[in-house]
Amino acid sequence: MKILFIVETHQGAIKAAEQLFPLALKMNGDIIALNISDILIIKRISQSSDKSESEIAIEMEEDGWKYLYYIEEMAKNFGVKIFLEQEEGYFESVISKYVDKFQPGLLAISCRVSGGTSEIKNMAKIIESIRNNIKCPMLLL
Amino acid sequence: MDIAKYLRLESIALDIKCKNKKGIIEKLADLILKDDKVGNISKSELLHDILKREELGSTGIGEGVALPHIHAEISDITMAFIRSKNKIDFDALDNQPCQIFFMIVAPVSKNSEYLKLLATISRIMKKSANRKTILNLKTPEQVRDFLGEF
Repeated sequence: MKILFIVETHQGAIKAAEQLFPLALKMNGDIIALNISDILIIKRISQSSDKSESEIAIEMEEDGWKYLYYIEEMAKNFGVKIFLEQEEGYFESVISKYVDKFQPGLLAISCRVSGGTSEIKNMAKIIESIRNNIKCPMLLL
Repeated sequence: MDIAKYLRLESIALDIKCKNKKGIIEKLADLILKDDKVGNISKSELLHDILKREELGSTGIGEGVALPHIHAEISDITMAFIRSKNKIDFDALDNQPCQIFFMIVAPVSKNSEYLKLLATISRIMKKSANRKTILNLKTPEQVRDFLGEF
């Protein structure tokens, strides 16, 4: 079974991987670890800093890859099969695209938000929207 | 990040003919082993670790690029590059055969530098313009200079 694991660039992704990998082993699942450079976040960060959108995009992409490779190392230690993917786009659209493309049996998302109530509400809205648009089970970690 | 500093000219091979994934990994390993930094690690040991890693998911990152990488007991990060003449099936997730190959071997003590190097190469190679350039460069010097631009 394929498990699409959305890897965000924060420590929560590492904790989520620690929970997901034993489960993947039990389910005999192959992980497709996907990091998304979210265009909305790139624009938001760029507006509040003196860096251009392309500079922010490069930084986010590299951070994303670093997390992916870190998580790949963890997967290796767990003995879980893993493939890495990175893509720039709108968070929900990229997830829908990958679900359509790979038809995973499970979508796992690390959704540990570090901010306050508004960030939690925003994440809940995104999760709700993804849940309404995909046809596979979803696991929030 | 200056990728060029990790890549010796002797570790770059262009337009190599190879039959399959195992063959290209062997050629990459040969290039890695020419580096003094590798020390006493044997070819069979290196191949065993790389192939074992590949069993846990291909290091093909898509669009014709593969990046086999492992930790090993060596003194410093070392890297090899091959552009093959023919396209080789590398079991990549996108099912596309590969023509651009990097191999990175690093000591555990340099993990953050290793992750940064992997991330930088992956980011660069995800851009089609960069892949196109790499496929058209004529000499190892040009490859190293190009990678040094990022």
